[in-house]
Amino acid sequence: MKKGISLLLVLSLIVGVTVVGLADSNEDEKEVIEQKVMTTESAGIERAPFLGPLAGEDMKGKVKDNVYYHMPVVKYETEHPGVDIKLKGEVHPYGDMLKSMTLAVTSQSTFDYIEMDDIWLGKIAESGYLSDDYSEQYKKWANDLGMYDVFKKGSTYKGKWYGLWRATDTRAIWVWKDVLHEAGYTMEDIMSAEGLLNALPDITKTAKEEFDMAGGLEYPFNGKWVVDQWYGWLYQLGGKILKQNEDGDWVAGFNNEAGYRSLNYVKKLKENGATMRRSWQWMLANFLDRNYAMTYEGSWDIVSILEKYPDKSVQEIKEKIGVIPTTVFKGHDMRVLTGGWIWTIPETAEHPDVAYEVLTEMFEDREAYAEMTAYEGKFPTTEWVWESPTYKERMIGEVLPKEWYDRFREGVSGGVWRPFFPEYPDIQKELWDATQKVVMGKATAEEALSTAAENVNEMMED
Amino acid sequence: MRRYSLLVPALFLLPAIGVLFFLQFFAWGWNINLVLHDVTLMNFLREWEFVGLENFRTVLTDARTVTSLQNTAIFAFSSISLQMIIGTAISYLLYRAVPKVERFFRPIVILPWLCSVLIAAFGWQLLLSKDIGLLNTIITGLGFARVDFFGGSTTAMISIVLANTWWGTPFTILLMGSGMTSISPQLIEASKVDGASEWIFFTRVALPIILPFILINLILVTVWTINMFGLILAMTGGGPLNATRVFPLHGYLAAFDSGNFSYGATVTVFSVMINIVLIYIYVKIADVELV
Repeated sequence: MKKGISLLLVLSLIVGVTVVGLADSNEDEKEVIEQKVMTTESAGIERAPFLGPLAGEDMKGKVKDNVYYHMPVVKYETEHPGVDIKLKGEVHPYGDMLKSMTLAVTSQSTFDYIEMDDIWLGKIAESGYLSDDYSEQYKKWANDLGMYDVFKKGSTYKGKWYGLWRATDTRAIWVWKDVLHEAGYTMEDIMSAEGLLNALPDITKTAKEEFDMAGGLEYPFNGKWVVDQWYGWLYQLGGKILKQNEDGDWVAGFNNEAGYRSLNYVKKLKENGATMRRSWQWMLANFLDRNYAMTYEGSWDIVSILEKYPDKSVQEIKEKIGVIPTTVFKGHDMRVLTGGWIWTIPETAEHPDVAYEVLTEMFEDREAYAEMTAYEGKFPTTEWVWESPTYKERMIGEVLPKEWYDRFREGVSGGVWRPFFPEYPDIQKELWDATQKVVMGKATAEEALSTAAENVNEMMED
Repeated sequence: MRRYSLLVPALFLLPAIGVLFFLQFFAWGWNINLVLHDVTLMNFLREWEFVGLENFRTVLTDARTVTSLQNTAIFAFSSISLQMIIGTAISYLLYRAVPKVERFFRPIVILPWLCSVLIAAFGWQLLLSKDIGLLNTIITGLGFARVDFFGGSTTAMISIVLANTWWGTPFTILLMGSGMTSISPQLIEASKVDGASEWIFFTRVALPIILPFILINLILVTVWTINMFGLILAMTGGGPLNATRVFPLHGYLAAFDSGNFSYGATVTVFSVMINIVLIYIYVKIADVELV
């Protein structure tokens, strides 16, 4: 009897091990393709339910359904049952991204995708690190989706397409409405550049005295990307970052009345009570903790605001918080800087064909693309997605009240983009210096912008 | 006793020496190669143009080089002076303190040196932060307006000097402490008998004895301070308006922020030259032979 039981146990064990082994061997038959992705937290990845850098971890499956990389990769795998894609992410803080890409270029790292801010495209494309093999296809996708011109230009360098600007955001001023109303103003009052300037001393006083806040408006000032806010005002008044002269050469387009007036506007914001912060790190948290009545942040914070109030509807939040993309000078049209993220495939990619097919899944399934953009709280770069019922249904009511939706759409359609030239990151530094000098009272707008223009023109000559 | 040939230890050492030489020569060779060519992020993967010594001219005629050298001089002079004075004073106080007190305080005063320079930087950033800094909490508590320490040129420089002094002083305390142990107890007794005051004892007896230690300390602290960049990068990033852009940071930002590798490499060559000159001057002045 005992022998019989022992024999049965041994047989069960053998059968069990064989079944497991067979299952494993089926799994092993799949071709594992490792796809390396470089991106930054600011690209929306922080919205996914994981935190921090994920070097070496498989990102697929760690993000919510239908979002980000997950959906196109899973679709690719469904169509190729023998393939198992492992997404290995390298997620950098925004401030480290250019340095990380520089190192990727110098070491010729084998990333399959890089998702980068548009301002770096020219510099990295010029290095020869990015592939232009898919130029025609990117162009076709952009045309099919009705991409706005500003984003088409931003996806190209020297006539070639190096990727697709898949989503965008705008700068934005967020406002606690109770403080604004207590100070005697409405959202309409502060929508004009002059109106905000006029209201700021009262809002600051009310915020401090009535609400025990640290200040009225918190403005990011010392980080080099803070010139982005100024660009909106510069373009509204007819200035440009770069313009072409009569010989067709690109020269500084800000050393003029538009430049001086818009830069003096930033200075006046400070004089009228804006708190100049070193960077926009913690600024949204500062605002949501009610330390400031207003903050100059980005539209990318929409999702963070919703997360802060999980039990409140979008409409309820709208009753408390107001937003405008930027203030507009009287008699001028809204122009606000639009940023965003471009998907590119490097020349050194280990599996460029797979990367390209995954991008195809992303951009050819329009409904899914629209849903993905809405989930992230990003704005579309294409007319098609703005108009798509999928995007509208998901955004209006779930992410944004209708009023904000319309206001941001106006901002994006009047978007300003930063030049695609490789010199742009250095131009940005020159303008940052100029802004700092003026606001700190070390130079007049004329002096600072004239010096910056000289340096920028020298850069562009080289 | 069995005698070994000199060849055996030499063979054992050879791999280590080989690796060391390779790394040194490769790094320097690569650096010099960059200095002699025009290499930027944009042409890194393409042909490099040979430019001879042109990069030296570019660095020397750049206004930011002058600013960064001035900043380095201010930062180094202030930091080193504070570190030497405070470090020597604390070290002397500990030396003259009763053993119980000395044993209690010595581990405490060297704590800053045990933490990483980045942790020190972030700690000071939090301490001096305009919004949440402890110092500003005290300042506003006393009824004064908040101070943006990292927003003004002078206050930003003072901030990095204080942070570096806080971080570096424990090394001076340790080294000077070792020097003071070489002062014979008989000398202290003799001074007491002769009626020498504490000040007279320190300046006429202790100081000449610990002079070689001061010199070594000065050399090391100078080299470290002039090459310090992690703390400044983390605290101010060289701002505002380049007010804390010191020379090594100038090279780093040129190479990795602007992608101008040749420029960055040239700055490192100048940095090494500055260090060599300073060490030579110190050694000459003190007439100390370093083996």
